[in-house]
Amino acid sequence: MAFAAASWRQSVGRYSAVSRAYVRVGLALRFEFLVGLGATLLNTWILVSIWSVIRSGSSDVQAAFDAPDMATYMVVAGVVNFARMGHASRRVIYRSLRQVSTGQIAVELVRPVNMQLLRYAEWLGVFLVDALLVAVPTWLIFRLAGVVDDPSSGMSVALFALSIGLAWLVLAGLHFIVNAITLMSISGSGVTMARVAIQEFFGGALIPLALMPGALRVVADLLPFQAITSTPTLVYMDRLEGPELVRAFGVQVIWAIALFAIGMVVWRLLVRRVQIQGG
Amino acid sequence: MRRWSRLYAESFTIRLKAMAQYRFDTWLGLGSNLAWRVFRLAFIAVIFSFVAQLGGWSAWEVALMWGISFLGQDLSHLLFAFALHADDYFYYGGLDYAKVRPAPLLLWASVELAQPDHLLTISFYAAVTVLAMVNTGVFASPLAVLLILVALVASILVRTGMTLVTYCSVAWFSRARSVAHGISALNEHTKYPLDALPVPLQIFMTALPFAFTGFYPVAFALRPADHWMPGALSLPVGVLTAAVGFVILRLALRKYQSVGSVDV
Amino acid sequence: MGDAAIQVENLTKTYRVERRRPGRLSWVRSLVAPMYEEIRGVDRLSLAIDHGEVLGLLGPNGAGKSTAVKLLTGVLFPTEGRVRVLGRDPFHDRIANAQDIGVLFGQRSHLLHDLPAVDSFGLLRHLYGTSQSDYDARLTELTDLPQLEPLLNQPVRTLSLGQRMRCEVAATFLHQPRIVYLDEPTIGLDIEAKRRIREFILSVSRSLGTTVLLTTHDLNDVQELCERVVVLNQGSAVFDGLLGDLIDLHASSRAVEVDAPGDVIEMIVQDVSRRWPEALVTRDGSRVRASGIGDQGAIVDATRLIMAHVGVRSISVVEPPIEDVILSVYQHGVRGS
Ligand SMILES: Nc1ncnc2c1ncn2[C@@H]1O[C@H](COP(=O)(O)OP(=O)(O)O)[C@@H](O)[C@H]1O
Ligand SMILES: [Mg+2]
Repeated sequence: MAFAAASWRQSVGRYSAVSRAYVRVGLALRFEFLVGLGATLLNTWILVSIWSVIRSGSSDVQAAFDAPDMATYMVVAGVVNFARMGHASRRVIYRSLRQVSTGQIAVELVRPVNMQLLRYAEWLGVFLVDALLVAVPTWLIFRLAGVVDDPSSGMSVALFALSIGLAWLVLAGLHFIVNAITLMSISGSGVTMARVAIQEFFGGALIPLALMPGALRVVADLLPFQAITSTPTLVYMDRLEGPELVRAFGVQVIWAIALFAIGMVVWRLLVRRVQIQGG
Repeated sequence: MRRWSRLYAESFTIRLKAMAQYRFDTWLGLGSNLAWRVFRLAFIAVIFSFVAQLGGWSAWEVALMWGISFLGQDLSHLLFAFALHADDYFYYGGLDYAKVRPAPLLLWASVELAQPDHLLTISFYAAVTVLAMVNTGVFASPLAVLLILVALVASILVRTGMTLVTYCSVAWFSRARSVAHGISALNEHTKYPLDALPVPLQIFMTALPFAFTGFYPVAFALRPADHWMPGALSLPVGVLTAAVGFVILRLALRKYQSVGSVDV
Repeated sequence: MGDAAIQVENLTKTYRVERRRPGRLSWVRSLVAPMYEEIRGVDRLSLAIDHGEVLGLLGPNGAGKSTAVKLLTGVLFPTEGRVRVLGRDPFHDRIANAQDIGVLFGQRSHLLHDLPAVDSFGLLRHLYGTSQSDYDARLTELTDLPQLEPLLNQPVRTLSLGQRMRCEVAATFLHQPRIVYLDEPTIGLDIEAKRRIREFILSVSRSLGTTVLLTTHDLNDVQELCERVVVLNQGSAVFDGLLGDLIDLHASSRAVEVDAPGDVIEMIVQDVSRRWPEALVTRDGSRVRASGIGDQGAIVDATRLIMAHVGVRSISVVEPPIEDVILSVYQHGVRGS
C-alpha cells in the first residue's frame, strides 16, 4: 500500500516534470507563439466580421444572437479554438507525428514511461504556454476593443475554467488517437489537416451549433468536437443553465474518458505492428 | 519541355508505386486531403443557407472565387512543389543533393516532390470551378471564359511567388518558418468576397496579396464594368509576384549554408 | 601538373551562426538584432587533383571535409577563393558541372526509401539523360560486383546500412561521371561493411577511370584507396602528400597487439622490451600491447619477432586514431610536397 502510494507520487512527479519541461520548450518558442497570436487575432477578426455581415442579412441569426452576443461568441470560440492552436504547440504535436515517420519513435518506446501519459504531459505543458501567450492576449485585445463581453460573474469564470480543463482532456485524447493512427501510416499532415477542418466545422468554431442546419446539428451533437469548443464558449456566455449545464459537463467527462480508453486500446494494438522506418 | 514531362511522368509512376505499397496510408491521405477541402466548402454552403448574398456576391460566384483561388494553389503545389517545402530544404539542409543535379533546381526538386494525390484534389477544385462557371453563366460569354482562364494563370503565379517568398526567407531568418506558417493559416479566408470584410482586412488581403488569387480576377471576369480596377491588374501582379519569388530563391541559394549534421 | 581536374585556390567558407544572448529579456533584443558569430568551415584551402587520381581528404569530425565537398560541388557559395572543376566554376556553372560529377553525402540518401533502388536509378537515368543502352551496360557492370544485384530489387528501407551504402555508391557512378565526390561513405559502418564498400569503390572507380575525392576520418579507408592524401584540421590543410609519407610520420604511434597464453606472453614482453627499450608495453591478462616501436620497418621486425613464438593466438597492427596522426603531423612539423 505504502509502496503503491510512493510509486504513484513518484510517477506524478515524473509526468509533471515533463509538463514543466514542455512549458520551457513552449517558452523557448515564444516568437512562434507571437506569430500564432497574430494569426489568431486576424482569424478571429475575420470570423467576427463575416458573422456580423451574415447576421445583418438573416432574421434566423438575429433571432438566435443579438449583435454583441454574436461577436462575443465568435471571439470566445476563436480563443478556445483548440483546433487552431498556436504555431508552437502545433509544432510540438507535429514533432511527435514526425517521430513516427522518422523512426525516432524507437528511442521513445524504450523509455520507462507510459507513452499515452507522456504525450498528455507534454501537450499540457505547451498548452499552458499557448493559453498564456495566445489565448489570454487575444481575449484581452478584443476586450479592450470592446468587441467581447465579460463573463457575467465569478461563478461563470469558475465554470468556464472547469469546462476548459475538460475540453483539454477531450482534445488530448483526440490528438493521441490521431497520433496512434499515424503510427500505421507514413505521413500525418493530411490527417492533421482533416482533423483541424472537421474539428472546426463540427466543434462550433466557425458556426455556432445553434445555427447548424438540421442534419448537421445532429451529427455535431454525436461527435466529440462540440465538447472542445462549443461547450466552453456557451458556458462563458451563460447560455447553459441548470440541467443543460450538467448535461454539457457530463458529455465532456464522458468524451474525455472514452477517448482516453480508445487511445489506450488503439495504442496497444498498434505498437505491436509499429514499423520502424529506416535503420 | 519533353524532358521535363518525361521526368514528371517517371517521378509520378514511382510515387504511385510507393503509394501502392502503402495502401492504408494512401487511402488515409487521399481521404483526409479531400475531406478537409470538402468541409471548407461546406462552410460556404452553410453561410448561404442564411443569406442569399455575401458582400453582394451569390453563392456560386463565391464558389467560383474559392475554386479559382485553390485550384491555382494546388496546381502550383503540384508543378512547383519545391516552393512549399523550401523552408524544410533550407532548414534541414536537404538542398545538398538537389544542388548537385544537372537541372534547374526549382524544377528538379519539384519533380522529386510531385505528389500524385494532388490530382485528386485538383479534380475536386476543378469540378467545383466548372460547376460554378455553369451556374454563374460564365460559359455564355467567351470573354468571361477567357478572363477566368487568365484568373487561373494569375492565381497559379501569385501562389507560386508567395510561397517562394515566404518559405525561402528561411535562408535569412530561420524564424521566417513560423511566419510562413502563420500566413498560410490565413489562406483559407481568401474565400470571402473582399467586400464583406472591414477595410483594414481588405487592405491586408490585398497587400499580401491573397486577394489576387481569387477575388479580384474572378470579380473582374464576372462583372468587368464594376470591378475592372484591381482585377485587370491580376495578371501583372501574378507575374511580378512570381518574379520576386524567383529572385528571392536565387538569392537564398547563395545564402544557403547547408547543415553541420543531418537531423533524423 | 598541367591542367588539373580540380583546382582550389585559397578557398574559405565562413558560416554565420546565431548565438543566444545571455540574460533574461535578451530574446526581445534577439528579435530585432540577432547576435551572430562566424565560424570558419574551410580556411584558405588550396589543392589540385589530377585527372584519374583518387585523393583522400582526411580529418577529424568538424575539420571541414563536408564543407570542402559542398564548395567543390557548387552546393555552397564560397566566402573567398576560387574553385575550378574541369575548368568551370561549380557554383555559377552549377548545371553544367553537375552533369559531369557524381556526389555521395554519407549522411544523406539519394534513394527513395520506400522503393527498390532500381526505381531511383531509373529516375536518375532520365535526369542525367543517360541512354538506355549506356545505363544497361553500366548497371551490368555494377551488378557484376559482389552481391549487388539482389539488393537492387528490395525496398531501400529494408536494407542494412552497409547494403544501402553500396546502392548509394552505385547510384553515384551510374551516369559515368568524370569526377566523383564521396563524403564519408563508410560512416557508421562496421569493419566488414567498411571493407566491402572500399572494395566496391575501388573496383568501380578503377573500371571507369574516375577521378575520386574521398573524405573520411578513418585512416584505413585511405590506406586501401588512395595514394595521395590531404589532412584537414580546423579547415586548413596540415598535410598534403603521399600516403606512405604520412604513414611513416605516424608509424611510431602504431601499436602491435598480441593475444597468447600467459607463459608465451611473458617471453614476448621480455623480447620486445629488450629489443626496443623505448617502446611502451602494456599487459592485460593474455593480451599485450606495444606502441612506440618505431617506423614501418621496425613494426615489421616486431611482428616477425613475435610470430616466432609458438602459441601466439592472434596479432594485429592497430592504427592510431586520426587525432593522433594530426598531432604527430604537428609535432614533426612536416608538410608534404
Ligand atoms: N551549416 C552549417 N552552419 C554552421 N556551421 C557549420 C555548418 N556546417 C558545418 N559547420 C561548422 O563548420 C565546421 C566544419 O564542419 P564540416 O565541414 O561538417 O566538418 P566535417 O565534415 O569534417 O566533419 C564545423 O565546426 C561545423 O560546426
Ligand atoms: Mg562531414
